[in-house]
Amino acid sequence: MLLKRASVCYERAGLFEEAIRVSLEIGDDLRAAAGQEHLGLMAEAAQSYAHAASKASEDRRGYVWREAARCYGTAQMFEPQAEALLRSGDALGAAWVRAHFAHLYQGARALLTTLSIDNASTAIASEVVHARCEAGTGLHGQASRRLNRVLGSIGVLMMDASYPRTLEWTIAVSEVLGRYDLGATAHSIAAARHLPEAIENWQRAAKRIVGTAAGVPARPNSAIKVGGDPGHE
Amino acid sequence: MSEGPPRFAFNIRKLPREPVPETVAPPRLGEPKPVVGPARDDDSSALPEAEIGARFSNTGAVLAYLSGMSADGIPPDAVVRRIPDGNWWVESGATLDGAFDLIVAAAGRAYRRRGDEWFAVRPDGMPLRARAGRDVVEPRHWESVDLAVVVSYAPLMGSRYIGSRELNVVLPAELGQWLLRRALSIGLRAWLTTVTRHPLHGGDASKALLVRLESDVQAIPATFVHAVCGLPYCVACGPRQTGQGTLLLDVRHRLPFPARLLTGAIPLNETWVLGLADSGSWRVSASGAEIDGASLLELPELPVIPVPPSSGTGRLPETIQIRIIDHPSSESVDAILLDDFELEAARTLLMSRPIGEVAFFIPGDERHLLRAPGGLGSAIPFGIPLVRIGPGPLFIELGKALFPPMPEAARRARFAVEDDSVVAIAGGAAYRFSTDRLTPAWTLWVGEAPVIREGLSPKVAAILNRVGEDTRRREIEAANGRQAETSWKGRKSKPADLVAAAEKEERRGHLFKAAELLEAAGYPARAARLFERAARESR
Repeated sequence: MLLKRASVCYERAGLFEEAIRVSLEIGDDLRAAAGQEHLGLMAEAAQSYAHAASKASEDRRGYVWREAARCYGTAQMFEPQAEALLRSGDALGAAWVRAHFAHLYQGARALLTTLSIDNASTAIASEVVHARCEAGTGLHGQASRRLNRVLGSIGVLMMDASYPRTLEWTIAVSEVLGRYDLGATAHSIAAARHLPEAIENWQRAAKRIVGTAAGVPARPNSAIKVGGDPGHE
Repeated sequence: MSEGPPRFAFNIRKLPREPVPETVAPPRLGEPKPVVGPARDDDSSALPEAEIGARFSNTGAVLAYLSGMSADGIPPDAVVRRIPDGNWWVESGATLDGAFDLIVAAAGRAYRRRGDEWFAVRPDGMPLRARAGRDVVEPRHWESVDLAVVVSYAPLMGSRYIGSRELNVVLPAELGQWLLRRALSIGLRAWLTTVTRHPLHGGDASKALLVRLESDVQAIPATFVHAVCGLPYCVACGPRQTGQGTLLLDVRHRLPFPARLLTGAIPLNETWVLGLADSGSWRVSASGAEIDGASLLELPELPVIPVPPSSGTGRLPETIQIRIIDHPSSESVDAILLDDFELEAARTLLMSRPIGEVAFFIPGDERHLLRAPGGLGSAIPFGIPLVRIGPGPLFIELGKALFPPMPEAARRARFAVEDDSVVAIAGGAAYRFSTDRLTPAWTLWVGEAPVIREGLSPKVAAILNRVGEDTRRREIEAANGRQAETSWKGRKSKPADLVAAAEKEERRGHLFKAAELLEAAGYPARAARLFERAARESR
């Protein structure tokens, strides 16, 4: 109780290192994690979140694990990030992190086999992760064909919470494959669906890849034909 | 000798229990008669009750058997005899069914009585075929011995020190001072008693010290216990085990049966100390009153504390000089001791530092104390940094400590720590400052305020005279009301007052209260440090 008040006072005084030390001492990992994140100590923060998650109540555990995963990601510790995502209940996210960031394709595929695919958006997202695994293991042709199929069906998919993430993954896989045409299609879908910052992301990608954003529409154009025109990159 | 049930020449029947005659009740341990002489020939006739005998090869088995006979402790009617061939004999009135099994389990041989002779029997009570010598015995000629003798010969079972808050050490007076110094240096409390000790198996009495060491919070460190065990002629025992008498057992050993079975057989007001062969087992009785080991501490400046009178002749250890030793630590600085020259420099420094707002200073004779609630940290880079060791406002130079460490009560008494004074131990001396002279540090540099001119110029007075008397009064009243309201609000949250109150509370050792005041005054970092220290001190 006294130490808790001490840590609150340390935070108020801006002495975060002290506050973290005291919080850790009394086992208040969540408060310590927040302090560590504030100081940019992402790896430490992730570990504190992970500790806190193991002690958290059932209904909060998923949230705390997601926080841990986010910090692990920022700290570029991808294997623990995938582990944290898995524990938070996001097996698909864990598979993506394993495949795209940690390059653990076997592990990613293993996760995909355990996945229960009960709706179209999960099915399409898992296809994207499969394509990433194939791209990583040299099966570029297969990966491209799979990605093309994904882009054909993603345009008609209902918008849900995982939609922007799936598109983002699709763009990432297309860049790994060097299939910028597929990437442009994905960008155009994002723009057509009015996803936040879709146009800006497209322009940035064009500048990075071809050196100019000329040809990328300046505003969302509903006339873009979803799944058709390969774009202007 | 009969063989087999049909040829029984006697009936086995339960004999009536009668009080055992005085002459054959050896476990009367209260008398200084460790060894009872050889039993007289007419002893056997006075033993109508004993009907189960047992022969064992060692005293450990004897004790195991005796302790197993009854859940209430060693039966008072049991007789133990030493057999000339080195074995041991136990006879008792035990009639329970399991007695024979118990004897066999303790690696003994069971006997039944018939007249003066005892016949070896099988575990089911049936007699063995008689062979001369071992199977038919006549124990009445064997020397009967005291329980203390049996215990002193009993092999203790090896164990290890498992952590205990109490340690009882029987040691020669010459080693008392060493033990006391070591014990106090690790913060243990010590009580000394002068004692007279007799070897358990008989012999000359000698004087010794019984030192009881206690730890308040955690177990006594194993390294210390091992050091004590390594001292010559010392027995380091675990916690006292009391029944009728008291049993102390070497800390590295354990009894092969529950200790309470034995403590019931130890005479009242007597203590048995069971040690190893080199240190011996002792029957100990106090010859002086118990005294507090802390009373043997002495400060350099103070006269020798008279050793409390002891009725015994065992010598008490010499008093110990308290020294100030180097003791590296990373604690934060709570106060600073400044001389006249440094005070001048501190003045300049405080003017430009935020610490100047909360610091207080107590002028003294050539030395001055500067402190702030919640600590000074590294705000002042000169002077002698002090840390609070308590109780109350007792400070010691950073990186120094008293050796041996004095208990809190001793510090309070020896340094005369009171609420209205601050005591600082630094540079080999102690300084006392009266808190009557405590002043905010800003008085060091803030001089007299410029003269405030009051009153009205004739010109303004003339203007005011033109305004109606009533209007002026109304306006003055309204203004006063506003002022009163403001000043009330101001008092409620005036940080300077809160800081002063916090300083006072911290000086008295009320850290939590001081922390809350500092928090309210808007000094969260200082408050946090005090909260933390309050948490640590309340542990």
